[in-house]
Amino acid sequence: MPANPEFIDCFVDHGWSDQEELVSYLPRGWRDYVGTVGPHGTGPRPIGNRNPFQHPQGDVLQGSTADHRPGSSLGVTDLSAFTRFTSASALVLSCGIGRNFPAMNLPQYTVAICRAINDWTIDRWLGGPDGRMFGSILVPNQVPAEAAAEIRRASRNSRMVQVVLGANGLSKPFGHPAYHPIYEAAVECGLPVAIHAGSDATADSLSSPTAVSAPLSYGEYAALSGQSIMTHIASLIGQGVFTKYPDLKVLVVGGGVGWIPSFLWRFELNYRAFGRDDPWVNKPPSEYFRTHIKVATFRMELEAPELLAATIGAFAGLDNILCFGSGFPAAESVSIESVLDSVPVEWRQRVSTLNAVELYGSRITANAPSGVGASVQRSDSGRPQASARSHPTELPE
Amino acid sequence: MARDWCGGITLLKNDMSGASVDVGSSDEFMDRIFRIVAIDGKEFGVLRWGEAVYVVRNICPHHFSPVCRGLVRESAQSEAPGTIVLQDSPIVICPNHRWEFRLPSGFAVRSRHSIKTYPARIQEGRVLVDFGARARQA
Repeated sequence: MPANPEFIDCFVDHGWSDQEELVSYLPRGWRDYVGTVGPHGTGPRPIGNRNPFQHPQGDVLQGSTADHRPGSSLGVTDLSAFTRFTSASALVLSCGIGRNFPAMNLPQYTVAICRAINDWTIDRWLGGPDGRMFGSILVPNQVPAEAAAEIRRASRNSRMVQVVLGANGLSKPFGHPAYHPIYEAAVECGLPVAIHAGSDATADSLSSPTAVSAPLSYGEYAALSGQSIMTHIASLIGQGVFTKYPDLKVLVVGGGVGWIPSFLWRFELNYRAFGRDDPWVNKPPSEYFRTHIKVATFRMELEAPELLAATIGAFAGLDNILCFGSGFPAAESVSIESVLDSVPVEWRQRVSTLNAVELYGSRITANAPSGVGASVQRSDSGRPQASARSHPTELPE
Repeated sequence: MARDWCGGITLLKNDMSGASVDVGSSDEFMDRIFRIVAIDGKEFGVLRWGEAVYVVRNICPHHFSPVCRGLVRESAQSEAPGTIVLQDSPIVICPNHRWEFRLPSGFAVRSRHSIKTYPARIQEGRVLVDFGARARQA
């Protein structure tokens, strides 16, 4: 592995050190709703719901933040917390526990808090001299029209590079037509949409991270992390979202990669048989997947090389799909070294940089510190191609 | 041409002359319902679709099921979620695994498989099929 490889980290979480920091970005009426600290105030209510599944050894890497809170925004003034762990050329901040908020009970509040988080991200994180930080637009997805409006508003900042759906506010798979205005706005603004496993995990969420209900322990929760991802991907393809929005790109985060071959094999098998159910699915599901989906490396099966090798062997084109995403500051964060050591050598540039550039486009290359764009231009001429050999994912003819 | 009946299948013999085979009066073929004919022990599905007639080998290339025992429906297409356009062109849905095949071409709607098709026509009230050499090899 080359020393100090250039790379883009498509999944880093940022957070606030104190909720008052975020409250200050709410309109006055919603600040009153949250409440204030003081002798005449009733005391603030928690600004949002939290994930009840706590890593037994701690949710975040020790020392990952300046003030020992997850992804604290103190990092804006003291970047040592981030730079100690990553030397990425570009980092895509993904809102941390804020991703839980779109599925909170009061729809109007989710609109206000998502907007506040986006303004706070732009104001406190993207304006610094470091130049490596890029933001995500968190959307109140249970109010899709408001979510679309927020995408159009927040995307005016060219360093906001993706839409984060967060928790599933309508408790319907993300391909449901109710969500389509969000995709329409994302495509219009040239932004990919990110779906994170575990965003539905809050106890008071309107939806559930698994098919049946919330798991009961962290172990169960972590083991099932890919389940909601599969549901959403099946829905996006099956409901014709990619037929309707052929330019839409989706990044899925937190489910690993081991599920991909078996999921797509079965999806493909059923696709052949049930055309009456979804005639708008005009291509095999794996073709939509390869064209529209990128998969972040966070929670990738790095500790199981046999499983990883089997996955790579069973699904052609994974090299064009994997994007490095560390998950920092999560306890299970993956390093660029561990990821690049686990994939074929000829994949490294695609996984570390090129796939992310395909996903984010000029918003990254035009705004990142010098280096990323130059590397991409060099690499485009010798772009590695997906293997053409037959894979078990492809059904026998 | 010898004719016999066996379990709803019309049994015929091909005289191998190369001429079209008369598989019956068009009145015997109900509109949009397959009728199976067997020639020299090989089964074919004959479907009258209005004034057109389609003939295919009664074997699904997937798992060799009798595909012509399946449902016949109009072809459905869609360019966007929620819109379904039916076309005046038949497909057959294999009864075993529900694969769909377009009868004019024989091609599966959602795979690269195909069922064998044979030219057929209605002439003077008779259904004539040109099995040619393909039928003897099928």
